[in-house]
Amino acid sequence: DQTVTTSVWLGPQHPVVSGGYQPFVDTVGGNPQAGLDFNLLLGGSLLGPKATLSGVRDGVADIGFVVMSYHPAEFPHGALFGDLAMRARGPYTTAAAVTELTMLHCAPCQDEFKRNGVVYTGSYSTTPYYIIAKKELTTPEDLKGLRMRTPGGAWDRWATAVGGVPVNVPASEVYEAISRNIVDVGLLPIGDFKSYNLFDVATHATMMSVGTFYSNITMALNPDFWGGLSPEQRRVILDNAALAVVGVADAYVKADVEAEATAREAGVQFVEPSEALVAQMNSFREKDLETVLQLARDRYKVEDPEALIKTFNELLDKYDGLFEGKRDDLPAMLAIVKQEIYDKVDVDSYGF
Amino acid sequence: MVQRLDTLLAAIGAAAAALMMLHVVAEIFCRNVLGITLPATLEIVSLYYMPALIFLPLASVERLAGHIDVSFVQEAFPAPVRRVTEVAALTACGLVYGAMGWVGLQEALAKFRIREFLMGEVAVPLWPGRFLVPIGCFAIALVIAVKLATLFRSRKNDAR
Amino acid sequence: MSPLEIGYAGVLALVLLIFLRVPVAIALILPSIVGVWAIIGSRASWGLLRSTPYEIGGNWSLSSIPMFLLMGYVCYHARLTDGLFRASRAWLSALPGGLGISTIAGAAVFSAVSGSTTACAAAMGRIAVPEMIKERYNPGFAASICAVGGTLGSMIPPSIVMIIYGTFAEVPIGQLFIAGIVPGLLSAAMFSLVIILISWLRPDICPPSNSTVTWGDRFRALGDTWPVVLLIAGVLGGIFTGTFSATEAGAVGAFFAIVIALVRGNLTGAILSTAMIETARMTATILIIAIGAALFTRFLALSGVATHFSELAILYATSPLVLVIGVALVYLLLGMFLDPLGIMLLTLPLLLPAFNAVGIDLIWMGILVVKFLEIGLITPPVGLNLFVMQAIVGREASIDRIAKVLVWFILADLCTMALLIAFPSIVVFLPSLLG
Ligand code: NA
Ligand code: NA
Repeated sequence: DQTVTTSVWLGPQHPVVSGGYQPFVDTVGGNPQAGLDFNLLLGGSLLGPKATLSGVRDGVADIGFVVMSYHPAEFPHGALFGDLAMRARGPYTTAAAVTELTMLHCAPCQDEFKRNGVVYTGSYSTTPYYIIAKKELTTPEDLKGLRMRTPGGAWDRWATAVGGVPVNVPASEVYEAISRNIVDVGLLPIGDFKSYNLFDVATHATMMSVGTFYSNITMALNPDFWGGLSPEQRRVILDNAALAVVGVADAYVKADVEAEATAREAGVQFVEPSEALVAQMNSFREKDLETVLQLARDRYKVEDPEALIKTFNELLDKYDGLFEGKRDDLPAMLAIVKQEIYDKVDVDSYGF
Repeated sequence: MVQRLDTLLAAIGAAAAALMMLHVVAEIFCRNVLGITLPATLEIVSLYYMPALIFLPLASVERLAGHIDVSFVQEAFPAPVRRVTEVAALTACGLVYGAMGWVGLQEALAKFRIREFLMGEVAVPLWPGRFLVPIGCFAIALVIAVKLATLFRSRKNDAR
Repeated sequence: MSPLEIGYAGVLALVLLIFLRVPVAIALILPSIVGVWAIIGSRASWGLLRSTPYEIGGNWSLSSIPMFLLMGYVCYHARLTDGLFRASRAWLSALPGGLGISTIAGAAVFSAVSGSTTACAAAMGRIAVPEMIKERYNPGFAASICAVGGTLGSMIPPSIVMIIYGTFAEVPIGQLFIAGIVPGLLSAAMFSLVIILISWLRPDICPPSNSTVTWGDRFRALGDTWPVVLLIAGVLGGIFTGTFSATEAGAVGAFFAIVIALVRGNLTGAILSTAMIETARMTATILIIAIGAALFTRFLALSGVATHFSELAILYATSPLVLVIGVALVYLLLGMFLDPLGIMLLTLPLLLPAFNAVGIDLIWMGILVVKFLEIGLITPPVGLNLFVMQAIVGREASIDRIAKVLVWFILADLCTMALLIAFPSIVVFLPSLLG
């Protein structure tokens, strides 16, 4: 069997690993017809967050997890998706829509992947980011002057728009930053209560989505590795690639449910936003679209961002419809994504 | 000439240390007193000051024989063997730093061509920091080359 | 050759190169490039060499190292710490090895400010080693005291190593921090015991203080300790009030040191520029080794050596105790060649499920892991604290001389480790008390 070096810079408990890579490796590696053995290296022991892109390109790893928003110059379209964080829907819908858009309807995206020496096989979406803090924050006034730990671009603009101060804190310091009041607010998925052990430091979560993160290539493949596989092996990989899309989204949802239960037990208050805050968010989202389009055109040099956003919205509607009533049924959603996206990919030409 | 170059690079590294201190302290002051934040402090510290501090002083450390090695085994060798290992070790260092500088230069040029940047509230250009790696590595390779040349010249003189 | 065999050959090559006096950084990088070339191919090995140096160097959490160095250098050159050492000499003159013990105590205080072992060792080394040499301590002994004192940096909170372990194991970082306090103080006490022992047995390397000190002298000496007290109070206060993070604390510390020196009137342009240049050179010396260690970690990840070790430990683990001892052996072995971060990244994904399977308390295990990793920093042939001290003392003591004295402290650490394994309540008592 061929050994496939697989590198994820996240830990074994992270949804990307527990919901995506681990089941993928178990399924494909356990399929004797595939003839592939996986060497799954976690936690950045092989490639760190920013080195994964070049590492996969150079064949240090055959498969790796790439965050496109870390490389806006390399991935203009990926950067655009990062900026559109607030236009996302639920994690399943968003993940499926962005994956179909990128795989089937975005030729310039595919050019980008070729230029950077990776083969794209899908993107996951996180669950919504909420406002996590040490006090009740429900109105726009509550947020004025607060220091906010944001995940980047679009969120920085929102934080500034509500009168807050965006602060860049690396993931390794989130716990310390919140526990010592270096930041007042963390914009994080609820599941991060568990990943960063915030149960004993944060006391309130405001349940208003401030967007989700999906500017990633969950499994980026080295082109030579991809080209060296037989068409059958490529088929097996694509047949299971949906795990990296809805599988990860599902792990995020489950992590959120589990973390929320534990947080409630620990006495964390889950509060609803005031109407004024919701209205502020809605009006920011619309106003920010102009900024996003301008950035896409002038800075990232994306040719026709409007058309892309239009297709994205249509796909969001499409998957909202297809997933209706099936959000508890992971196998059904995996089958839908496989049928709608991966079955339409020609393994003899894709990625070459 | 080479000595002036490595001293200059070390001085730039020292300036980076001073700037890093002032920048971080200014950020803390703005955050706590003025309620604003200096954009991209974390990126500038990590991707400009740190590479400057790590790579630029390498040559100066080499000239002052400050790079850490373990000498007690080698010192027990007879003088001719010691001489051979010394030349071999220096050559290995020169080649590795030369290679690191060369691939680092390729990387820097690639990032320059796409004008690498990072997006926060404002866009921060990143590619200039990439050039600190090849500059530092080539400089130390140069110092090593001069050392090797001196070593060979002195051996010729010994032979005569 | 199989990747595993290439991995072991690489470890062998590393040791060989180090003994042939190839600088440690290059001794780490060379086998990594050749090894990755042999396992995957040239493109991958050039690729790693191309991206790793900038990736590892451009790291926010490493930025505390040059800043704490700068603080230490300013303190030393502007003589801010003189008063403190005069006072500790006056107060501890009757105690054998008093100056060494006060260095350990200083390192413990410094550990409460810094999350990094290396920063702690480097700053303490610059300040305390010359003082001890002045008291006619053997330079190797003085250096080894600072090298082990530095290892308190990761055990006494805050601690970068604990944050990484906590994130991997998903255990509360706050509880890990609290759990580290008692083992940290226990380690400091054991080190002090070793110093007392050595000063009794070997007056040639740790001479007794023969000055007679009156109580008046003692109280007068307290007067001039204010610069350091103020400095430490300012930095600790800032961390605990959340004014700045532990990573930012180094920059604030350096800034305070400069301001205090300015106020006392003993700061000149020459002192400042010397401190800056020394900081730059020392940062380059230390962190180029860290880059080498990162490359070597990647090479070992590809070759599967660390995985192989961990699997062996798990395979023979018939009981929790055997697993813990097995893990200790794996970490002590890997600790000879790798840095703490690399060891954790390579082994934790495999070991954590095994810990869970046999029902080991993950907080307790976390503290043990920190202890194992800290020992690795002072064991030859690759021990970053050892190298830092060598760089500070320079020609006055070679690595083997430092390492010879360090054996005593490593034995003390092994005793501490045995105590922590035999009596888990030393670790878990405090966190359970506080919730
Ligand atoms: Na500490
Ligand atoms: Na070691």
